[in-house]
Amino acid sequence: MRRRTWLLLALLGLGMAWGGLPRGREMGSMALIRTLGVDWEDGQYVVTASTGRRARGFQGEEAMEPLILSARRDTLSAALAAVAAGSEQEVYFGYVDQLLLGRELAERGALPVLERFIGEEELGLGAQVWLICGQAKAAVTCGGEEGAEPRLTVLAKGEEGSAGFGRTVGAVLTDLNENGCAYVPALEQDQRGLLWEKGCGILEADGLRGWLFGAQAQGMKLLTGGGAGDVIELAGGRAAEIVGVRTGLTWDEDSRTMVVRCRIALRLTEGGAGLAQEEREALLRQIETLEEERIGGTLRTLSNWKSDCLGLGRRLRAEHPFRTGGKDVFSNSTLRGAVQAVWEPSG
Amino acid sequence: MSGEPTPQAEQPHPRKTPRLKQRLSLEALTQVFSDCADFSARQLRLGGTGQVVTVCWLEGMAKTERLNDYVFRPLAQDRRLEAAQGEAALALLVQGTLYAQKVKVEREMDPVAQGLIGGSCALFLQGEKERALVIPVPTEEKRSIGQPENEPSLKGARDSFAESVRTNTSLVRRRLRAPELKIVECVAGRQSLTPVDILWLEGIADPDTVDKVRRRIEDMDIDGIQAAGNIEEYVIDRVDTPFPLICYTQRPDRFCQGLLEGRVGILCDGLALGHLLPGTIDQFFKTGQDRAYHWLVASMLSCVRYLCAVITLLVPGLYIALVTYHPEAIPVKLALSIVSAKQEVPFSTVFEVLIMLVAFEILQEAGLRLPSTIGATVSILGGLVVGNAAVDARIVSPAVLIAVAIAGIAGYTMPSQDFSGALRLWRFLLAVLASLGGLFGLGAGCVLLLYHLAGLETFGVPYLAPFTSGARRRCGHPTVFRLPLREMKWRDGALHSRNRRNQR
Repeated sequence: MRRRTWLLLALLGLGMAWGGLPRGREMGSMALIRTLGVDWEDGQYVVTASTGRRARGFQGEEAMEPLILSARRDTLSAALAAVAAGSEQEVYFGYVDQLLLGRELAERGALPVLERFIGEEELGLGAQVWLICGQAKAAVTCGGEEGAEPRLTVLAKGEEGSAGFGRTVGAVLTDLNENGCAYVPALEQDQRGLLWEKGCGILEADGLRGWLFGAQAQGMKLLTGGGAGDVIELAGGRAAEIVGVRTGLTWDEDSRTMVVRCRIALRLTEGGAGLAQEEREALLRQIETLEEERIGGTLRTLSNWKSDCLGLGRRLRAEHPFRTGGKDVFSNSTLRGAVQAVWEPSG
Repeated sequence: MSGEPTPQAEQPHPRKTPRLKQRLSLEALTQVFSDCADFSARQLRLGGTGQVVTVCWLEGMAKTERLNDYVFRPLAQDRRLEAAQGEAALALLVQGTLYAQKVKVEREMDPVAQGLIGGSCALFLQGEKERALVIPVPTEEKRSIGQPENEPSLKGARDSFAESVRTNTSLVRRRLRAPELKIVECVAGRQSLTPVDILWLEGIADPDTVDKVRRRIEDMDIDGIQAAGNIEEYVIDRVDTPFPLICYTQRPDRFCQGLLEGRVGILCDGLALGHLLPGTIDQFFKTGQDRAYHWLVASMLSCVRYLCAVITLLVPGLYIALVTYHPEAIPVKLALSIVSAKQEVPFSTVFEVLIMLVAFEILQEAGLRLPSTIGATVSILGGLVVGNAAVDARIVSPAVLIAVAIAGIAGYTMPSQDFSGALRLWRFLLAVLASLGGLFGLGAGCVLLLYHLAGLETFGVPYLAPFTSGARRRCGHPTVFRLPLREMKWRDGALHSRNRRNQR
């Protein structure tokens, strides 16, 4: 009797849980959206979605060209719904791997778009997010038959010469929540329509704080522990490739200085033949100076903006809870970068 | 002989003892075997001219040569019998005139009738009432010992149980020569009167289990034992599960290994297999070859079998759940291929999978029921031609075909067909649950399956004993992995073995 009661209760619980399940759908009728671009134009959201090149089936069916859908509405929800409604197939957002945010949208505030990824059942926080120095729609539609997705994947993973500076929606939202701002890699299109890395932008909840381009972007990469694969061009036709970066944070209480220490492992890829040990050491000092300048420039800019997008203040408070004083440690401290460059042991 | 049922026909099956109530006599025996074309009797005089005797036997059960050489020849030619009468003649016959390994004087009708059925002949002396000599002269027409077709051997013994229980006990006795091997015979089946032997190793097997098995076989009151199920379903505790609770094997070596582990064996006349119990889940993943291979290879194969059990059980349900409810969990490239391949298919994924599972069962059944040569053709026609044509015609998607085929092939790795059948049944259930609730439904089904398995028990031993502490006794050695034999020093505690150590 008791066992039967438990069984009935279990069945009841099961039935209740069953009610909250997602509804079943057929994949054969789906268009799997891979890349989503969101712009802000004339007071409206413009959502552009692309499936990317659709694969051959198991029996060598014809691969289909990307399906590109676009809609413009006053609200994001309406724009997304309009995109879904504009297709002959059932649009499925569960495979969105790339989210592109247009410049105007970033300046106006991208938080509603990012938060949509939390609330929406199909959208996942693992999607890569990029800022586009221009229109996201143009970036989504670039790439011809293949679509933009393969190029974005290469940029995110750091393949083929790219340094791999990708950030996920989840990471950006976490930074926005914990640090009040977040860095997001930026891309721009060249004249052929190909997407290239273009530094990064600092997003805040209510808009874009600013852009970090060139040397400052390089410094940002190092500060985040990235940059492996980047090539540093040196005088005399020499080049060194960064093979590993490690960063740490120290605190000098007397001078109230936050020191970001960066250890860079390098490999001399060009012009290294016949170099004496002293010359190699001199090259290291040269690189250290160069990178310290980059890092220093980035830290100065962040300090001026009071944008602790790397969470340095938070990290320091966690490490030295009684010595750093207050929440404003990032704003009230001097920021300095220290670089130690080493050659990676060969062989 | 009217067609109306007698009042007794409506009664609960009453057991008659003794079966034949007539007083023993030649006339009564002839009456018992009236309308039996194989019943034969011959009269002759002892020593050619002495007292009249009648010998009765059943054609086909008694061997003609033995009857002639060991019974009729001495009866007719032994001069000592010529002058003997009554008691003296009987004494001479019992004491060695007849060339038989045993001669038994019977006074009841039942044993005489049973003796005739068992291949003996019955000898009646004229004038002697209620006494007959029963002399065994059975024929040995039976299938010779062959190879175990269902459990082929690559490295090991190649003999298999036959239909004769005595042949089977001899096969076991040759492997376990210890006098501690005990064999008790029960008779089951009211009409079949089938000898059923219970075998165990005294000092190793649990005596309580032996008693329970014996009691259950003796309590069986059925018409006849014609199939293995007749033994299995009456001996086990529960029949509301598709999972086999009693393990069977065609191989004497595996049977003996079971006895050495402390299990109790059942050999039934007419069945070319032996049963081992209590049955625990690990028994159905083991093969007779596990101890023949190197322990690393055997462990790897054992892991493969457990993995295949999971695959055969879950793959169709998992496919339905992922494709229908959780497509985001499928790797992108695979998802794109599935979408592309499924675009022209008119049926839903659930329908496709269930139809393919049913088709798979139909093909398998058709292949089994036909002669092996035609069966192979059916398999090729069904599997390749029809399957390929169905995919070409976009009736099913290739991904479904692959998923169902993988599940089906994985199921074939199960050494036990009974266990494989249970997995197939649950595969359907899990597929249906997955179609109702995706991964949640599949998960709920798996919990239900575990709950069901955890509730099974045979002879006080939990079905999941090797993986649980339900038996509250130490497991002998790892179940999935086979250790080197030198390390396997303990019998499984769950079996309540009297002596757990199996080697120094």
